[in-house]
Amino acid sequence: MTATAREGLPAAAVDDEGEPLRAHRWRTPSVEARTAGALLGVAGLVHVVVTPEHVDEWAPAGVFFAVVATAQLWLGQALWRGTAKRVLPAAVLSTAGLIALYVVSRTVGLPFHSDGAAVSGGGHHGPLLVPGGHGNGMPVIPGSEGGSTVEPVGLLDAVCVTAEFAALALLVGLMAVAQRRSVTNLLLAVGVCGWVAWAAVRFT
Amino acid sequence: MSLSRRDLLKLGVVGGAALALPLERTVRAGTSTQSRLASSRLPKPFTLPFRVPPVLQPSRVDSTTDYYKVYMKPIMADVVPGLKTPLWGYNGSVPGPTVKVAQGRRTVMRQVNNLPATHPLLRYTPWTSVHLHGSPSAPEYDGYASDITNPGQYKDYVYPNTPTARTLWYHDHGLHHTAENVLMGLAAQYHLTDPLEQSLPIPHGEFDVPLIVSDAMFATDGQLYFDNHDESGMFGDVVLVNGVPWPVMKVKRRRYRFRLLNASISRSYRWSLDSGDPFVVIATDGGLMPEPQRVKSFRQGMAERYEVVVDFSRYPVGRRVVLGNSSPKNNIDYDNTNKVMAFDVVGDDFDPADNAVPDQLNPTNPVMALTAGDAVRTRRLDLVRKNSQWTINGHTWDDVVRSRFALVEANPAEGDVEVWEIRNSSGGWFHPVHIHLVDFRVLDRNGVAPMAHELGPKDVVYVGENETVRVVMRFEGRGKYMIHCHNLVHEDHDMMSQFEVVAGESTDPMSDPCRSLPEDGEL
Repeated sequence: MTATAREGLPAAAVDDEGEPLRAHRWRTPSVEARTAGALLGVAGLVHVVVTPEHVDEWAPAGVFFAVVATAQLWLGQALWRGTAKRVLPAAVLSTAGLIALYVVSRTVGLPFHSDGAAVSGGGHHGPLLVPGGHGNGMPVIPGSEGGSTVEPVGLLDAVCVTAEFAALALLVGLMAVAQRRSVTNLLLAVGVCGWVAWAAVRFT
Repeated sequence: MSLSRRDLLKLGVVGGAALALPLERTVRAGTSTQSRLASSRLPKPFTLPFRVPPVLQPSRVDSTTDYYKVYMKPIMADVVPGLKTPLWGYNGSVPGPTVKVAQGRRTVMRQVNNLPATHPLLRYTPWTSVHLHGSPSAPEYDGYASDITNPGQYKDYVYPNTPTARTLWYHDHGLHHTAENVLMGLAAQYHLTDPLEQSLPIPHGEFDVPLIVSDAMFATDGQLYFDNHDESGMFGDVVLVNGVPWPVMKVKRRRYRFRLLNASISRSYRWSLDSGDPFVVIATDGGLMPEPQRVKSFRQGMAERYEVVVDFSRYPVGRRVVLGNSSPKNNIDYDNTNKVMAFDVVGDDFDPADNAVPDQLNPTNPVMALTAGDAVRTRRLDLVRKNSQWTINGHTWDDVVRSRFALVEANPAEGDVEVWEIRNSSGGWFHPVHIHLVDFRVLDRNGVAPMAHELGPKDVVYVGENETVRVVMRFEGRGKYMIHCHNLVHEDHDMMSQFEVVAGESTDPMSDPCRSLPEDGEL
């Protein structure tokens, strides 16, 4: 029984952890919240490290990475300090969105890659439209992704996405049951779509 | 935290996709590398017979014009004995068939792109744009890189053939994949004759021999092996002459004229004969030199053409003379890239006509009379590697495209004479620079007179490491034309820009686009 009930006052709505639903912070951040915060801090640092090279390639990409790094570092500290409860759904959805963006960039390529941006493996650039051309006309040299907008997975990529996914799982666990069901169903649908698309491309 | 087993399963599905799919894509890309054919499986030099590309016959002629039909199509070629190599040839020939035409007769070449919808290995759509290199063609027939013809389309190219006699070549110039298309085989010679050239007693007929030199590397399955060394160049371990690895040619005891074309993607050569005897250089890119030049060795960049005469009468029957290559700087060399081909001297009878080199060839070529003093202005072209891109004055062809084809490096008026100072401040690479439309004279290199073999009209100049080369030219024509490095990997990535000859009326280089093939494919 909470103190409020004991005093005969109307009970405030609480979540699974007994925290008031409207509270913007946890009284004591759980181990899970702190771990998620640390993991997002790792992801944020990775984004800080790779921001300069993306600025060199294409300024808007650099800005995007800087914004992501800032958001992740802020969220990491907020989770660590227990002040991120109110932004939990947004944190879950934005982390899931970032992971989805990463998967697209490493599998089929991003459609809005810069005209002049270099891709890894060489100095050439995303495709400009070629009037009357079919496709972008860029050869893909075997063993290299030069000329393609699909980037290979590097060590930092693997570290970052692993940290983000682990943080995502922990954040989902911190959500209220009803929210959690909706979010996990949505994530399941996205995951199934990803696997189906992969199977369709690989086996047809 | 209270994730249920069901929650964990759902997260497992999405987490598996997030972690596994990108890795699978990367691993698949990594394992798709080709395996290079071991040098032990390559043919031994000088074991395969020399051959000359076929001569293209017109499909129709009229009083002024020869009409040709050329089908670009895939073939399976026997380049390395025991292996089949998929190549692309003009009319199925690699190198393509030679065109021979007299000055003043117009030619119309219908170039039909019957290539596959995508390259079987490199996965690009092989659109084409055919450039007749050495011809002052109108802009819409000059092979402008962005004036493309997709598979299933064709274009009629019109050539005036007004210049002096020379060795030209036609090759692909399609945007983004010129190197790959040319390596696949889309290159051939085109000989223009004129009364002066025909009247000289220099070798003609069977003793006037095209030598199209290229290099390639092969994979274990016989396919071409592609490695552009992080967009710096493609270098093969096999030297091909007219498509044959290190061939051997039987020669009679007389003079031969060789039309040397360096059709390599990125390799330059420095020729010499193992006998130590000289070549007599009689013509450069733009035709006959004022007077012949005797050189024991000379370098030749990509796309340069030199006509040289070699006198085999000085050798006894049975003697083998080897054409060798002491590689210029910044090529990647392999075991046998120091050899090119061999000549075996035979005692057969021969026609003694046209077996000389006169002291004067074309002393009145107006290009060779140009001086720096004739120029109305001097411009500079800086060849620079910048932000991982090859650039001219900091510009790339992408910049030209982004400007809607308005960006130009120079805009001389029709008839202007200009000096262009082309500067390569790097020690790490060389750039053979091709200026479309014009013939030019090389004034000097780093302030020193040009080399002996360059003392003729040119359209490509070798700008070596830390070299500044000045050339002078008169701009006759109108419209936009390309300038680019003829290391085709550099050209594709993206050392190409353009200039515009400003005149009263100018033609858009893309004003006569390709057409689709009719349903039945008949033309």
